[in-house]
Amino acid sequence: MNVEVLLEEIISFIGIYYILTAGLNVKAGMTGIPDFGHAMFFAVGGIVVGNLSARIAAAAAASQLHVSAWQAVKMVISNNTELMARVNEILPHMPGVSIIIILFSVIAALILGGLLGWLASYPALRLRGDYLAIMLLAASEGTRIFAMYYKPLMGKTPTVGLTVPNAFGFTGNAGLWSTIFILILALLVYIYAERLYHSPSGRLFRAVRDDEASAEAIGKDIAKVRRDAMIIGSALAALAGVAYSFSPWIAGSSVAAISIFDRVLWTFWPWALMILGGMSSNKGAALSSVILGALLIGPIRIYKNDIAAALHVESLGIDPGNFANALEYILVAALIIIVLFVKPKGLIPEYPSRTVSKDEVKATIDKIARERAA
Amino acid sequence: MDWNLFTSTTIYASVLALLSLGITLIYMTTKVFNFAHPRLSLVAAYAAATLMAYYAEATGAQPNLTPKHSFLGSLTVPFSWEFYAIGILVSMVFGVIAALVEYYAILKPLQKRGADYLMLMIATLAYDFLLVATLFIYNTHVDVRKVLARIGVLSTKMSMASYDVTVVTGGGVFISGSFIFSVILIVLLGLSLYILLFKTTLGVKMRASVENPPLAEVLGINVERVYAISWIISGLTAGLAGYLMLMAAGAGNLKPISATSPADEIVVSAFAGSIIGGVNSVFGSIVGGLLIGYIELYIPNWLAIWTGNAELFKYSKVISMLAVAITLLFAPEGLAGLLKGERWKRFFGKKEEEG
Repeated sequence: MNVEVLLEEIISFIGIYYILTAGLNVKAGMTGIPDFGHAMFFAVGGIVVGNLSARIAAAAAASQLHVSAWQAVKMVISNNTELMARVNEILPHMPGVSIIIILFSVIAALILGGLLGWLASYPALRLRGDYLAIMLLAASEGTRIFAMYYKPLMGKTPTVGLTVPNAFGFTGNAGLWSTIFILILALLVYIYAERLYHSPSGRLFRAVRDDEASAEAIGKDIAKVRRDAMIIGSALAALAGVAYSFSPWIAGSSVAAISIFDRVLWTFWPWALMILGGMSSNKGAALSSVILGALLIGPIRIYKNDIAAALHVESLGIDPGNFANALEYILVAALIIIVLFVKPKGLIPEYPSRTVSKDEVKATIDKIARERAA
Repeated sequence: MDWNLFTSTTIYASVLALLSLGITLIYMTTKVFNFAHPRLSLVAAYAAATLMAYYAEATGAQPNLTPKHSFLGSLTVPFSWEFYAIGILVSMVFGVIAALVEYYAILKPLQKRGADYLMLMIATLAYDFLLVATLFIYNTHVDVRKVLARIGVLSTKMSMASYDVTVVTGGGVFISGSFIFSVILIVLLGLSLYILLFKTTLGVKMRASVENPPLAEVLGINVERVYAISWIISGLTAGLAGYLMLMAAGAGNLKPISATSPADEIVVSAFAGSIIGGVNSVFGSIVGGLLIGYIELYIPNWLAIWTGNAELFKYSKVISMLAVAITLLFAPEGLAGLLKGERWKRFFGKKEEEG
């Protein structure tokens, strides 16, 4: 396999999983909301790209397809594969539209993901602990089944799904530029998450997680804090969904309900990454994404069949293809169990946040005192 | 009334009731929602199917699908009774083994290290993945395929529904062995749990250990043993659910058995049953599981007839998700909370007081 492609694939993996884990970290790590329905928010990104952005692309390309814009928009669902194949031939010649589609997808995913997070925060305000985990898992499963069979959302067949608009086609090298796009998103999310971690609101998130009663006693609105965390975390998950959908290496050319709602890939893997890195630790989430992306997820997804062949499992009567599939499950399970036993606090445990220095506090107090005196 | 829908729904509801009961028992004693629970059934089903097939091979038995006349009507018994007995026994044994491995190898050591509920939940997930991987490798193994193929069972889409005992009565009513088995099973299970929990010293000890473990320990009750017993019961019921999944694949929302199916689809429904019953009530979980099974299939059926849109049937699982949401948000104590009167207290357990 081409080294460049492998590198792009691994970087895309790292970027997508980091953004996803960072979102989960805000909810579960920092605020203590055990979100077992993270895949639901990730799927929002996929739906935005496959459904909404594809409609924009179709409307823009309509004049060259000799149909009205409205007809093209309707055909995105009714005749997805044929229409999008033709749209994707036209789209590379429209750089402006492509850039609008990318920007629209990012913004729409952030808004819709945040909105869904806000809706899901309603139970998060009333329930605690494991009940909430089950509730969110059930919500995610319910949404998954709805999306699988509701045709206007994800197309006719849940396994085929919707073709993604080739928004990076205009660059000439969609693989490279989508990787750069994912990398930029991941860096922006890292900077944001790091700032959030050290900011007063980040410290408030952790205060609510550790002791709700005390946070309430000093006049903080617990409901608002939990709601904010759900909105931020879910919006980031939807962003990861957009990054995934635009990556020709990871998503391929289409998004299907069956893959974007996958609870193993998009809920349990981020949980494993978060626990490995250290709950609530942003640096830990980044480190574990890099380590696992570079060492495990990427190479194993790509080379699992070669590993199975190299181990000569067929001589034991084991089917190599299924052994390869099982390998991924065994690795994630073993990793989780080892981390829980050996290093339950993770690779980089939660670190103290940078706060304002003593001198600065003193200067501020003096300033306020002077203003009062004046 | 549609008789076939009723029997297949009853089997499905019994499977859910068995799984919900196991989930509740584990939650009451170990304080963790066991995500791996439905997978224990699949392990049991694979073990049972393999050994049943080996038995058929060893005795050279061939499935005999010609109906006989009996006093009930035309009766079909494809294999001898030992064949089914082996299936039931093996599924129970392997259900218990898989459950005890989970408890003693993973959950108990983690609890001793002071893991919180989140870590335990994640650990049950990890165990679930290990079982999936094992089944992936197991069900495509050459020997397993060969032995199952001998009695005409596909190892990655396993179903023994065609070898179920069936009766077609004189009036043309179709009754399957799994239906009768599931009804008897639920009644017996309810009775024996009632006797165990309320009529024996062990039952008193069990209830005491659940209500207040430290106090029970001070009074000389071996809490560890009580926990082990509840894990054994929950493994046993998971195994029986696996046997039903094998013999009645296709009933209700039960798909043929593979490494992932039907556990992946059924897990949320089983949790729904447990939650609707009120997570701290043994009898509530049985009733909750049955209830979820019936509403999951009957409500879409009625809706489909009412609106004339058969597509609605696909959304049947959404109903159990809604049931979970409604229960948790509006009646978090579940059925046990709704039926709190003196008359019911005995069956549904006392409401847990929280400060």
